Amino acid sequence: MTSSDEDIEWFDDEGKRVDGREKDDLRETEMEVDVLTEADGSAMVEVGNTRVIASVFGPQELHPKHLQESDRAVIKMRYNMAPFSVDDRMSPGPNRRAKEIGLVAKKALEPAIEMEKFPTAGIDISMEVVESDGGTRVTGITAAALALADAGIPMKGMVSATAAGVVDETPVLDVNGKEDKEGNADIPIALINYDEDGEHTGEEITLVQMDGDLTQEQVEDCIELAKDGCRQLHEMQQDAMLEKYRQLRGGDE
Amino acid sequence: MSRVKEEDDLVTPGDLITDADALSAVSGAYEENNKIYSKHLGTVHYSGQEVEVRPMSGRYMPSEGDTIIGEVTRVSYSRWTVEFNSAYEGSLNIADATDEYVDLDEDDLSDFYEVGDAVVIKVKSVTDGMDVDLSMKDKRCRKLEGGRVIEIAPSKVPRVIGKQGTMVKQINEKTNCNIIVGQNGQVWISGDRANLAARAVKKVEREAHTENLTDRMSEWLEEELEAMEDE
Amino acid sequence: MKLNQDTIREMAEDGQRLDGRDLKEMRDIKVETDYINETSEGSALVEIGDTKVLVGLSIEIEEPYDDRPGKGTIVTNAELAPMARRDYESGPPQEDGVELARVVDRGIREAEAIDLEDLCMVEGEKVYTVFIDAHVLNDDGNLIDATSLAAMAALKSGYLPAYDEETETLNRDEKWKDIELQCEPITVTGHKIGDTLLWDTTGEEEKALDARLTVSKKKDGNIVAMQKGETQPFTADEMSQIMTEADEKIQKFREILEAEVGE
Repeated sequence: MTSSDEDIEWFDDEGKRVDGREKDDLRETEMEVDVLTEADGSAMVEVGNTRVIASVFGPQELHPKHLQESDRAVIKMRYNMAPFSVDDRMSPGPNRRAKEIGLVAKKALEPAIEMEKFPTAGIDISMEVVESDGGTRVTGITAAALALADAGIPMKGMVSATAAGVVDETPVLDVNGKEDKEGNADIPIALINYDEDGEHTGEEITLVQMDGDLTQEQVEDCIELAKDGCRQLHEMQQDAMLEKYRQLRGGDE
Repeated sequence: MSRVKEEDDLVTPGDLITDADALSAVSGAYEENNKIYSKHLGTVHYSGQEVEVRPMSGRYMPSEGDTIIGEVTRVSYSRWTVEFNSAYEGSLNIADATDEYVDLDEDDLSDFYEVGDAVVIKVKSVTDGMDVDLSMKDKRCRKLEGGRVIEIAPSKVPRVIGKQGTMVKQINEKTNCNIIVGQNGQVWISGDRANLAARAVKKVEREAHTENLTDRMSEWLEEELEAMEDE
Repeated sequence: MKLNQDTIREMAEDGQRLDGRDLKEMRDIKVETDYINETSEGSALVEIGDTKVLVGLSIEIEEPYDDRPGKGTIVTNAELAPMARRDYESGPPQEDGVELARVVDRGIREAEAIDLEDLCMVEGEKVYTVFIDAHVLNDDGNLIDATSLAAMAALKSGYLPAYDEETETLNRDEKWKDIELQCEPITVTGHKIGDTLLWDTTGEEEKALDARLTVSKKKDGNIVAMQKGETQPFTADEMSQIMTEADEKIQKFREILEAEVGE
């Protein structure tokens, strides 16, 4: 069903990608915090046509008891794709792929969280993909970090994530569904971001995965692209978090 | 000494607040490489040599001396278990519940407090492992009857109470209600205009970080009361 | 908290509610269709107060059942997403999600909202299956009404994609035709606390709920489906009262649908 990488015109005469972007452009991204009232924290992130809602409950009592850790919290992470989130309907409920994604997403966020603050407790994070067009796990991680901040969970920095890829031998940032499925590689990356007086820093990469067939140089280029993508996403996360409070204050922050 | 963020500034996790120098990071902030960063989405506060960040939200962490509102969820042989909207539950032992003599074999603990009872209760002690002991021995402690309990973020409790209780007193007076604010964010409201009082409390919670809130709440309450008269 | 449940019951006896609404008053209702426009052939996000339900249609092409070679299928499914409420994390009883799906489905099916023969592409070989997938995002009560409204809005604004006979697959970028509804059933639920009947209960009120009766009606006023829920009984009079009071609510839902999707 997939045509090979060479059959598709990945870049037009002006070097624009199939959706009109430059090779180092993120798709149009929107973020909103506090979208659900029942959850302790929540956020929705849209990157292009990929839309993920994340929620956080916690710290709360963890069941069953034998899973409790006496000196820190335990994270339970769920990643799920709604049946209508893809063209050909997906059966409801997390499958094996979803379980793996849940695990790597948890590992992407945990290093930023002050786990020792909540001995024996549980933090439940959930990511629901309502629309999918590539980059669902990284969009989910970006949304989950916002939901954690919205829930007041202490973190040393904000985790953001994006995927770089290669099409037509060229590293590109934020692969969409088509580029992911039929391109040459998909490299999702997450890192912990800091803001030092307006200057972004962040070298701690907490998620790396790769599907593809690339030279080391290409991989390294992709990583650099992804790092810059994460930085851009971090700025948007900051805006989304402060937005709600800025309005109430009179917008003079 | 260079401050990047000033008193009352809004910050997000990972934001640099100030060079550490002589300052130390306390709750909500942390120090690394001689710099102090925020752990939360919240507001910055300087106090003497300390820097803290007060988060906008976050579930309650029990702390010694707090007066909270909870619900009895279990009655055991010699104690009660009380939950209070936290990851941790608390134990109330007989000795801390009553001065009356209780014969464990004869008397039924449910006579004092039964499952489902709502109480104003004090946090007596909290261990490192988060074992929480509670006590009813404080004049504010009591069983609650009637009324309703609503939830606000624990970090907003000080604002809802106000300096020397001015904010909650204002709401009480204007709505003719009785309000008890638990440090854990559970707020008990009783009275005819309880719904208005509840909305007032939620409004203070939402706008806690703004200025002139006391005056604006006064105006808002007046407007709402007038609107109710017209109905 | 039990204290709140006790107060809700007491207030209900006097016709009062915690949030100041009248017994028959519904919270603010919002409907947004085409919420999922890239991957779904029809969708709607419905908010009733803080309750949020998302319904997305997925259309597939399949072989018909042997005993109905000229008819397509409708399948309704409901997910109570763990994010919707704190106690969902430990998993609500699976029956709750199943009941929700079946109640929503029954109203649509019994009213014959969709002519299943309309979904036939090639008799005996290829028919359309319309999957109605409901995803509950935030549960603050009255899920049945919100989900049914979202399902109806999704169907009303949905379409069937074109079928490519050569490749024997669906071309999702091309529309064959809009989904035609022969009939638009609307489903609403009356609730009972003590001896008081009330509408559109919040999550808090539902913890004090004794019984509920869901009623689905067509435009001509006929009832096509009913479901009683919770543990206490209804009297016949109470049920009649709910069926009558339902009309006003149903009218309101129809107006909201019309405003969003048109006739």
